[in-house]
Amino acid sequence: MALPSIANLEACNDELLATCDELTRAEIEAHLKLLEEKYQSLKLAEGKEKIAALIASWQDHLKQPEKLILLAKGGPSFVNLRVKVPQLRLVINGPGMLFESFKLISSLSSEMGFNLKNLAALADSFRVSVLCAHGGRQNIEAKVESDRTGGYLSLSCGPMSMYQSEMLLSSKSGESFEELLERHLFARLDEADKQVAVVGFSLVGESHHHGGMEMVWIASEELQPERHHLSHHESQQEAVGEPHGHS
Amino acid sequence: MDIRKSALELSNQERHDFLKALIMLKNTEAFVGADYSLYDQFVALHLAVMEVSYPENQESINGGHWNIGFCPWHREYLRRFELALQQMVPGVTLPYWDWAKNRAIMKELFHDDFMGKLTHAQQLSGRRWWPKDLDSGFFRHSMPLSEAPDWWPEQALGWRIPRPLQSVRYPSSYPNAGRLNATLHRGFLEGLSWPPDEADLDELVHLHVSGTGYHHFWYFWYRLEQGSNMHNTAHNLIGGHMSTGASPNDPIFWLHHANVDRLWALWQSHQIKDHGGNLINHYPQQGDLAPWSDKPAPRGHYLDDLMWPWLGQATSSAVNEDIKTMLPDYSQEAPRRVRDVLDIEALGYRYQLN
Repeated sequence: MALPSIANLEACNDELLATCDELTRAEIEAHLKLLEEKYQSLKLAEGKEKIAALIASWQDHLKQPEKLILLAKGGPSFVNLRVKVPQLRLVINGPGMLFESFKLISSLSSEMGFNLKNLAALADSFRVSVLCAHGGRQNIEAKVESDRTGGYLSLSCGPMSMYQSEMLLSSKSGESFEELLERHLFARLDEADKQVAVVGFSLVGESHHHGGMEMVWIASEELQPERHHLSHHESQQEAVGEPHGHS
Repeated sequence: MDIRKSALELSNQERHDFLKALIMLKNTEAFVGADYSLYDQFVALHLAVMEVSYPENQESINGGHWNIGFCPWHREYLRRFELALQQMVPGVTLPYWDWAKNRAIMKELFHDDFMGKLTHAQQLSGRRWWPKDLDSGFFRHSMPLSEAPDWWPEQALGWRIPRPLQSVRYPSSYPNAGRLNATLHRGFLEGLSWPPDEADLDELVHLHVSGTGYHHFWYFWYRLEQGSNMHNTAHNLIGGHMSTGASPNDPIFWLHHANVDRLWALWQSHQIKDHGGNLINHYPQQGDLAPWSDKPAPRGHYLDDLMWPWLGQATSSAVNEDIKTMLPDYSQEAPRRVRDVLDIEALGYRYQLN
């Protein structure tokens, strides 16, 4: 069956939007599927942009309940993970400049269940993505690591920015983070011991005031996005588009 | 008195005058033979203020961001830019982007006949996303004469970003890398905590946190610059150049910051009306400490501090050498202090009431 034209899709979209509060999740998903099929079938950039905008407007209606936490200079750096929602949105000011990384900490010992196996199971139960204007939506790996004090779960901030990015921690199953923690870490504990948080670590050992020229994005199919701590002088010396390693 | 209007309220003539002034400033050499323009000098200023060194300070200072001086520094910066636009087209003023009127303003602003499209990031090799260059509208790299509007200034070429002011770089193997590397980029991002609604902004302009032992302006600045749907978020929303220190490359910067300035002006007037005092009382004095550190704000952020680069002749400072060569010389002008910019009407403008 031929897909409808963009004009028909837009008209149909407007009609649906007028009654969107009454639509079921399944109906919205079906409409999104149609839009996505249309998006895939189009070759013209202009048409694709229109459809992308329609898709985005509908994705808003499928948003999960979430809790928003602002991490900023003078703001909190401690995010309680024991929340009754399946999604946490961390608004990060100065990712890679003010905040360097995030680490999951708890009040639990390994004897109480805070071990690498359980941490890995917890890490596998949610997705982490970063919304950053330098690279769109990027997935971030929740890494389970250990040092001399024990195991922990760490998250990088994603691309560096002097302004802001948003990190989404989303439960894969739709369960709340409290339920995920209950299943993977708290199964045998008293209420008073159930403390788990994500803590932001600030950048140290380097001026955090800069924000201008030290970051240059290199678009390359071969390279991962890199954060380049280049002085302007160094960046001037580089040939345009030459592959870069970490400086 | 200059009146700054919402971008939604501009007449066709006002919109064309504003665009013409932007294009003319962008296409006017900073001096005869310069390979950068008067407009580019403003971009260079924004980059340079991020890292200012004074002989007495060990660490470089951001004179215009990440602390209270964010508000006054940008007020002075915008007013100077507005006066520069008026040198190109007399009477033109900066419109503002009223964030809360999201649906209407996004439709009104972001199309080829005004501030250009909101291009989404492009996907390369199926995995990575990159900001995309603007390839249509008035802010594309080259404007074909056949498409230029009546008001398009003679000799104006297009919107080109000099190399020291770039922030996105394509490899030379990429098709049209040279043009792409000198072109304005955007990477519109869906799904952010945007926009604020009228209630958010009303709460902001009435915000008065007291009884903490710290000056109440700090809490207003904190929310305005760094809040979850405020200044920083809009930079992230537009993406590309707007999400870097070279953000004024994108002319939407000026409309965005005019709104930031408007919100500060509204907050100032509400503070005086609701809590008494004068403009000076509602800005931290020398010796008032930051609530998160109990330390003073950096130099340039307090009421009687000189704001870089408007330091007059007496103060020495240093910035990145490559950018420095692009900056205007302000040494012969009277120095500018934070207290000089608290009153917008004394600066010669106000905002049109909705």
